[in-house]
Amino acid sequence: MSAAARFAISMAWRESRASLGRLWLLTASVSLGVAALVAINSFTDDLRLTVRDQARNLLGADLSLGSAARFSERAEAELAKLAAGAPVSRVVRFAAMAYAPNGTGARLVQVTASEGGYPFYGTVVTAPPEAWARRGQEHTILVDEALLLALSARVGDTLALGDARFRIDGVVVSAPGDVAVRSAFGPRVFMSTRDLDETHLLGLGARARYEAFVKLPPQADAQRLSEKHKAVLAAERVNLRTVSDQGRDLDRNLGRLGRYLGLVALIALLLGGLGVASAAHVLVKRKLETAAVLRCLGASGRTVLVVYALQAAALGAVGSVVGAAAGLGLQAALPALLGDFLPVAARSQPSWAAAAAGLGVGIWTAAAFALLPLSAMRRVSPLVVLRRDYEDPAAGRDLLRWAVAIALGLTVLALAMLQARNPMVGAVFAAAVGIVLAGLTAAARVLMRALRRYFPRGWPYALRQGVANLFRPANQTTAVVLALGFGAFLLNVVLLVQHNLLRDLRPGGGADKPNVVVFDVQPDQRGPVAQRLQSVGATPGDAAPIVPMRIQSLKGRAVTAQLAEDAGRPVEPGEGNAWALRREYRSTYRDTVGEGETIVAGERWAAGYWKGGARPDEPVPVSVEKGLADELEVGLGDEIVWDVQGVPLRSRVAALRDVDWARFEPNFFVVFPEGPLDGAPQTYVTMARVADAPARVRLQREMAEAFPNVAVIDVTQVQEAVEGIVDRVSRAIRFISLFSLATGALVLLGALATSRYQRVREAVLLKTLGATRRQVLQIASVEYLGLGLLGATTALALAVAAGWALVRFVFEARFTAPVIPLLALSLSVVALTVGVGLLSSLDLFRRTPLAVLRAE
Amino acid sequence: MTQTYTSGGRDLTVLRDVSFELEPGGFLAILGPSGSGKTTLLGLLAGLDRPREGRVVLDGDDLSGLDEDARARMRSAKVGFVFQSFQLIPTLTARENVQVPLELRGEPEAARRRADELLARVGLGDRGHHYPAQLSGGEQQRVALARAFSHRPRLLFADEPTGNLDAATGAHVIDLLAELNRESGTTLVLVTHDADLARRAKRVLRLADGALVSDSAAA
Repeated sequence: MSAAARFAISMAWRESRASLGRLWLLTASVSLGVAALVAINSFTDDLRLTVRDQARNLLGADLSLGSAARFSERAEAELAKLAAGAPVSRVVRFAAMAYAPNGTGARLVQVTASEGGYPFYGTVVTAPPEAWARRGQEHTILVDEALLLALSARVGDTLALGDARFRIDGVVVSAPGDVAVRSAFGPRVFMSTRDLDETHLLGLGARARYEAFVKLPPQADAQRLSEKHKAVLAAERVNLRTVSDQGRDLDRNLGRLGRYLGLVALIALLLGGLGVASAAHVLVKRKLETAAVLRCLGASGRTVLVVYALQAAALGAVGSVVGAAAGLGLQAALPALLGDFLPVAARSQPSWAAAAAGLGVGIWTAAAFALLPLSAMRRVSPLVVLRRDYEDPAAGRDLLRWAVAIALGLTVLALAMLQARNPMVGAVFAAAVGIVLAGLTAAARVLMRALRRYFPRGWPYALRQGVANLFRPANQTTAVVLALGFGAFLLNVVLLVQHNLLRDLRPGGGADKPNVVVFDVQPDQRGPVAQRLQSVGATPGDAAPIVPMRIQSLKGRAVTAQLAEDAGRPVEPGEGNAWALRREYRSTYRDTVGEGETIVAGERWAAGYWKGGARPDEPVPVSVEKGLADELEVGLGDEIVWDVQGVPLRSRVAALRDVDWARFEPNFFVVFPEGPLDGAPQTYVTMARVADAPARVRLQREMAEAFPNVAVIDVTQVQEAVEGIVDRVSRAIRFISLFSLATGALVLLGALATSRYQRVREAVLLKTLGATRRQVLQIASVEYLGLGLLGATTALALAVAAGWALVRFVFEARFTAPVIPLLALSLSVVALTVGVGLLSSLDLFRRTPLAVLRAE
Repeated sequence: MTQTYTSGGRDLTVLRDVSFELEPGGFLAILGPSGSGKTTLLGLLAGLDRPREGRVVLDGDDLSGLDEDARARMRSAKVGFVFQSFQLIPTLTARENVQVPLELRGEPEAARRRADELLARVGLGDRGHHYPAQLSGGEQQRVALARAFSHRPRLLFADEPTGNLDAATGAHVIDLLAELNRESGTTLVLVTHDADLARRAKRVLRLADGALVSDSAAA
């Protein structure tokens, strides 16, 4: 080790005895960011490990096959070949209305009908425990606890499902791979496939998913079998999945969830970095003379820089260690926030890799942010010893400073990219962070300049002095505005997005908006259903016909061939359009354009548009939703042949439509003109407004009794479910955002602590000159109020811009701003600033001038 | 040497054609009222700054030709300082302050030994673990003296070393400075506005308005 290095280390160590104690707040600001980051990443690592361990339990079998329709004969034959005698278990999932004849109300439930050994791996936990094995015996059924509550029923009561009656034998506590949040859309019911026919629920137009689960013998190679049979099954619209497919998808989804939350956590860390930078800035100011003395005594510029850089790194290291430890502890809190979205229970095992990464990132961030102001230390002139206010005339551009600034930018970019694991997302994130920081900085600068320029000379003294403090020498205005503002910005954006996503889902918004949707009405039930609706005082809207159909061929190419080919090559998720080709379409026909729709290209048709075609083989014009058209890669004029319940129907794309999916009303991917589908097998959907909640409950129950196949959805319930989910997601994001705000508060505290000496002197001086404590308090209040207002309003303005862009371009919805919640949030930020500020200056007001002068 | 500073867009000449030579082992006083340019001269002599015109040659080395860090190395090797406002590093103890120059050279063992020796010599042998804030002005300046001599500099600059001290304490510090200087054979350059103080020197340079007005050696 060189003499200079040895000197720097011992000097840094001796100096730090004094500074570490004073800078603990800034150490803490690094800690918060690291804690949030480590908590999220460790939690995600833990979940992914759990998922990897339990992938087979999550699938419940070695192989699963699924289709939107009953398996075709060819599919069945392929399945038999594939299973080769191994146990196969069948499952059918669908939604239906359920009610307890002895209880009240009726609910849309999610039915899982199964037989055989499903799940082959993992267990369904029931109460009583033996209930799962005996389901189906003597018409027994198992339900979610939530259903019992909704129907005021008890175990042992009768449950009506379609035309069948069951005895509720117990409740299901948990099923493998189940995501709790799903039950918000309808409680679950578990029955045996044996009893399915009796319900008469799987007739025409019923939406059901048919699945088969295979338990392979231990020596079988599931992956090889999958490769072998995938193509044939795909052509039959059956999707084949292995344990590793399942594990990989879950792993990817959880990874994405974790990474995006981690990005929010990263902001807290970057703000912590700002805190470090502002501390380093103050350190430079305070240590100028010491640095000059060292220079006089013969220390090189580099040695002096290293002395202080080492201290900054030490600060960062202490903060990161504390943060990483706190993060691992905090990890235990995350399941409470996210548990409902997870298919596995988190074990809360710390991920040492995440902790180590957090530690490294924390130290690096602290060092990089500190180095920017510290680089000035290298160029302190020894002449400062002789003349305190000496400024080196040669001190112009410093290459090191530029290098550090560039390194800092690259650090932020690299951190974002690493955390997002997606260069594009990372770059956009880093750019967004940069824009917000630049916006906040610019606002702070403009305000300071404006205040200096248009100084309110006519104001009372206390106000003037408080305002002047905002731009006094060595002020921390910019740092505080950045740190507080960013936290407030994040919270505002979450609020805005949440508001805009939920707004259109709120049926109560328009007093005349329908709030009941009636599905699966058979043609002969139209009249009676309308009467029943009228009997509860509702005016049913026009019933829309629904014709189930599948795509047979696209632009002259058979879909089955396309599906088989796609199954042969690996397709990245998000790519490929297998789902669009495979799915069952519920199309409607009408000669009008719906309320939430706009034709973006092609023809609009009016009543009587379809005259039956000039030639018998002339294709029917259809209007296709824009997103679907992109997915299917079809444009105006392209041909699609539909399989309508076995009958081929040629069509050409005549119009492209934009659909506002956020509206609570039946929307359609494909709309036909009236005429060609009139005779096709169809069901109807109709909507109505039923003003009061008890009437809706009564209606649901009456309809369920009178028309067991008809699903009556109370939109308010769905609305509540969606709100519940959005609320949970927002809560998670908000929780992480709070770390940013807390970091902001810490930076504020740190800034106040570092300028404390100056403040105490000022306060004492003012008191000596005759200021009352009240006046000193007023001055301080005005200053913090200014800081808070500046941070909060800038954050609000930037958040509205960001929120608008997000809502408009990412979520493609209309943008409005919820004025009162936003104002409330902004005011809280101002209150926080003033509160923290005044609290930390309490003894400023208490101290007598003499005590302070003595202490000097 | 001529030194000019630019202040407020105007050039301000603070030293004009000052030229002299200094023999090793001497005691030189630079005497002049406030604003006469004596601090500027000190800065130039010690290599803290570079003259606009002219050069400073120390032991045959032209300081003007050296960059900032090379001049720092030169100071570390040959130059010691005593300042009016003591300039002890507040976060270091008295002993650590005295150790700094030798530690900068990479001689921590010698630094410790020398610090004990010198602190005892200035009468602060038992105050080594105290921080500057815990010492009186006179004590601080004695620590500064110990620091200045710790690495046996060839050349020692003292800038108004008694300026912040009362008369009695100041006298004591000056006696100590003179003794240490004699014992170590250092060349001492004392900058002051106090003619009585300057009288103790072998040679006195008088400065006024940036120009050399008299040199006792030349007389």
